[in-house]
Amino acid sequence: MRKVKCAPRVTCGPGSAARIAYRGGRKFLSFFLKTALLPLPGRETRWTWACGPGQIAQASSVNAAPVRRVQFPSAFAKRGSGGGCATDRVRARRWLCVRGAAGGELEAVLAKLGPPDGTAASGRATGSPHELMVWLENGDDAAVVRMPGDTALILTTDFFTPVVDDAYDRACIAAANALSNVYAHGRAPGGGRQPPGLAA
Amino acid sequence: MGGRPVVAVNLLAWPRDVLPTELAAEVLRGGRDVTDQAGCHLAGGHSVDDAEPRYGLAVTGTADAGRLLRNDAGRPGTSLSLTKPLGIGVLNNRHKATDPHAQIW
Repeated sequence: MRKVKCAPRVTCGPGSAARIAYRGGRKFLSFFLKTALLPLPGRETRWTWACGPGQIAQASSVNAAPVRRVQFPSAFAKRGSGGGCATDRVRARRWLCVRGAAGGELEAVLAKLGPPDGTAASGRATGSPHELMVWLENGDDAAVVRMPGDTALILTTDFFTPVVDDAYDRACIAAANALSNVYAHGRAPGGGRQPPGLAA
Repeated sequence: MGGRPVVAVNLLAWPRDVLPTELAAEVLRGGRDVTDQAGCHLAGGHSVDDAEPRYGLAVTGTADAGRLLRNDAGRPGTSLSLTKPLGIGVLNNRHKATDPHAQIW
């Protein structure tokens, strides 16, 4: 029941645009930003399934397959030995983080935009009634908004190119990394579930 | 312990002309198993055709606003929890600077 609606095949996507932009230097930076942030119709494949824990088995044919190990072809496998995966993470963070030694370029790009409305740095109000507690300027891995009832809403994302050879393991690592950004952001008042892999 | 993940969506970039869909299925299975373990809904996602395979999640969670942990709020005397040896970032940067494969961009 897995639904995959395929758009016409294309040879270009945001990722390849990023590489073109990087090779060509800042000359193509605006092209990269337009391509990455404003995907063109027909360039994407969008899929949807509705599922939650326990339901996903019916929604995805993935679960029907027996557990087996499938590895990426060598061209996409982790590079180098030992910490070969490190290059990809560093490469990703080069663009995703504004702080740190590799963050200078992105910081310069964002500086041209200025801070968004609703932040102390901008001094401008926004139409949202919710306070933006943590955002880009704080150099954190997640954004946080204060919701009614003194609940903090945490929003984060993380994704990687292959960091290990095994496809399943690689996905587990990526998913755990993304989830860990939420775990790192607050102390549960009680009853919160432990992160996977951590003893209670 | 920390913020509580509530719902996540997949982010998948896949070279459809190069890698089989069975491999993509393995990737999605891994993400689903981890979110199941975390008690977090996995509600769908977005995929694009790309030259390199990429996978990750966008996650929404909640925490107590009055007890929020921030990485810019450390003060002298604040306790630190180290989850891996210090220096990984330095080694990563060295690897990036010296490994020819790291310069593919």
